[in-house]
Amino acid sequence: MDVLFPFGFPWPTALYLTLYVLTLTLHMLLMHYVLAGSAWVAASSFFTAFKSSPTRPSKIIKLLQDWLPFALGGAITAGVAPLLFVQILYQREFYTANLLLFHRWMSILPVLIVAFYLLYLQKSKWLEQRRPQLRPFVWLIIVACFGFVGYSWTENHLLSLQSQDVWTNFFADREIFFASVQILPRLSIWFAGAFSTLCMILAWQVHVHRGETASDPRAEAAGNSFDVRTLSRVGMASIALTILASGIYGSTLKKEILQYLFSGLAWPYVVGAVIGWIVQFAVWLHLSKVGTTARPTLFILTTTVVTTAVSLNVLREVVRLAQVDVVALQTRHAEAASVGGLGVFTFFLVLNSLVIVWLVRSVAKSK
Amino acid sequence: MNAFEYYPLHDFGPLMKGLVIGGLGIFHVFLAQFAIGGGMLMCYFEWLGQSGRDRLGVMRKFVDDYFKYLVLISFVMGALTGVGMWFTSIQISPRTIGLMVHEFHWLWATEWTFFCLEVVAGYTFFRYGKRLPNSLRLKLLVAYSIAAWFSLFWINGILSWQLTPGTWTESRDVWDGFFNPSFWPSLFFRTIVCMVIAALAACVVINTMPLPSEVRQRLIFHASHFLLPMVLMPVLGVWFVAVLPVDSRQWVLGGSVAITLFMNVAVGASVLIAGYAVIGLYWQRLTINGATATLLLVLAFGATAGGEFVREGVRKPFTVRQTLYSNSMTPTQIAQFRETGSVTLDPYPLLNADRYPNDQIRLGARVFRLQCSICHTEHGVNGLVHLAGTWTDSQRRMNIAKLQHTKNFMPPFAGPPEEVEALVQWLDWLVEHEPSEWPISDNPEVRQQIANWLEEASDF
Repeated sequence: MDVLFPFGFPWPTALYLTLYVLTLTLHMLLMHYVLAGSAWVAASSFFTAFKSSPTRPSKIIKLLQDWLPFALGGAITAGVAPLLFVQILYQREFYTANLLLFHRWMSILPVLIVAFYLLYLQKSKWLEQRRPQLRPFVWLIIVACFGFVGYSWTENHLLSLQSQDVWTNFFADREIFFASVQILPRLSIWFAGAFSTLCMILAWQVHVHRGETASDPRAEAAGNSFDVRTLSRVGMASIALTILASGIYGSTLKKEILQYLFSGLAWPYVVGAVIGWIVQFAVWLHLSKVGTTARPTLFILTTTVVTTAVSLNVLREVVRLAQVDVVALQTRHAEAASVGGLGVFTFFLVLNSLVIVWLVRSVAKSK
Repeated sequence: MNAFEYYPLHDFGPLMKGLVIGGLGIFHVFLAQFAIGGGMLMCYFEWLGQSGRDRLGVMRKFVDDYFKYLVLISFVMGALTGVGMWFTSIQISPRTIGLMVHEFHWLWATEWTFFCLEVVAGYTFFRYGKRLPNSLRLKLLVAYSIAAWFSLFWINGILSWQLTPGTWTESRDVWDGFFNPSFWPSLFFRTIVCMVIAALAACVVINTMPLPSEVRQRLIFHASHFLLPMVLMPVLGVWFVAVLPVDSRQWVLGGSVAITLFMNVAVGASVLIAGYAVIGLYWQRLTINGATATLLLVLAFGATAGGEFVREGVRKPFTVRQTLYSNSMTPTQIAQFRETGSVTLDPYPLLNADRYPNDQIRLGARVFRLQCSICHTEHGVNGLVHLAGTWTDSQRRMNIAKLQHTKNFMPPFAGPPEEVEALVQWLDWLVEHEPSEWPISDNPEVRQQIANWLEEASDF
């Protein structure tokens, strides 16, 4: 408990934990974009749809409507890797929670399919030609779908941390919902935190797409400035609410778990998350004043968002490790690590990453 | 991996659990193969367009239009049913998917890197393809196709390992398991299936487009080129059957009526498609309307369903041959359970314990849940009442105790004589319409007879 995560564990456990946290972070960043982005568009569409005079959607809304289907596809694909590693790390716990929640858990799949197709529907001409009042309800369904999926994952995760007695009683009582005082605070952290990630990605998108549609450069600059200031305000509010939700969540944790969080295993990550929030807040404050983006500022913002996300995911893992039999799991991890294929994975991870970068750069250059 | 993990098992009512995963699996496989073949077909059409063979100048537009279908169907349903397969496998057989993940997680992780490439290349083409120069369009399509095909490459090794693990059973080397005896015939066969599904889907799409008949005919003719490799299917099929273990081969060649029938459905549907494609579309250069193209695509779905059923069926009585039986028990665990009882340590109670008249029937119900419910129901699909309801008690005792000898696609019974007798009494009680009173059967001579039968059937 005194050695920094993940270095105090045997190498197989450390390797799987590292891969899990990193791939979960990748999934989380995209998932944040989808969750917060759809909520943003839904809220915006309710404000605009019932106005007497038609309002043109802002650049931020147009970007979100355009990119959300891809972001969801990316989030699902990125989610495959942490889904794989969690089965190596905590197989019994994960499988048991899945099985206990049964069809309630499985329902996230049709729900996601509905949300996916509705994201494409909202881009379609068919919906454009319908009454504008219909659009907010489509978005409401989309947000409800993602909210349900997020709730289900949180519930599944918390159920997986329970004892055999709780599992047995849950099964015997034919429960399909797991009630816990921690569900709402955890969901609030996810939801509030999603907006700061979304704002960071949107800031890049606004920066990259600036000047593309400008017939009047002055109006375009003013619009960009407005967008940047909007993102700054939302980003700062997101950080404040995430800190608040984290505090509430922390108050629900047992003393032993809090000791884990402030032990040598995890405290540098607590510091990392806090510094990440402070720097993000400072950058957003700066952007709200200047009203324009620059690449160095965005790089700082990106670095701190990723640092905060990795730190929070490590802390999430430490909370779990405080509640499971780590020694028993280590034996399983060592058995799993004795199986071949790591070299092939590493080779293709590097190769395919390079191909992806090359393709994206080629397309960006040719546009 | 020898410690037996108990998981909460649910009752699916009259629905056989294997059918649930089979149904989703067939649907997912069909969509995934469409995505793989679709990428290859788009490469071919794009190349035709760019190499001056497109006299009518329609290839580029067709590629862009077809890709929309690929994204809307394959990227959404394909991706989510893929994740769904994992979740469903956990629901149906957690110990089997657990072993598969344990043995092949690095190769699954490798497959994931190809998923990422596939999604990035595919979406980039979808978003920007129309504005890109020819060379970059082709590069994106090639990257997409290679990534998609490699996802088949990796998963094919894992699935074929379940059926023919080859020397892996001794060496436990991941590559011995991956490049197993049925790897290559299965990979080549599936690659052709991908091409066929993509070509037939293309014929459907072509018919939805407002095109002059000359253009439509030209596009269909080019799509039919992707159907021609079907002539190799008999050779690959024979190769596949030849590398099957002897007992599995027997199921295909008449040993199991159901498997033989499904095999014939797959072969028959494939012959019809191939005949229409080679003779009609390619040789006589006939055109094809939307209805016929859809019918052929449905036939292809039928062939896929038949083929997947056969692949799953011939594995019996194993989910991983010689390693894990269809109820997810290893031979070592079965030997242990013969001593200790299979449900003695199961922490999950019966959900409707009051339904049963005594503890012996309750024990029988728990044994059924753990050992039989993966493939059997009480009264529904593959229901035990239908299968063994007419047997006498004595017949039931012997047939269950010597299960792997009774039918060689059944796993050995994994429990002591008390559990055999409890299962027999539970079945008898079901057959007699679940009376509220039921006597406990505790005749020592009967128990000794069961013990003798179990001893005679201890070869696993």
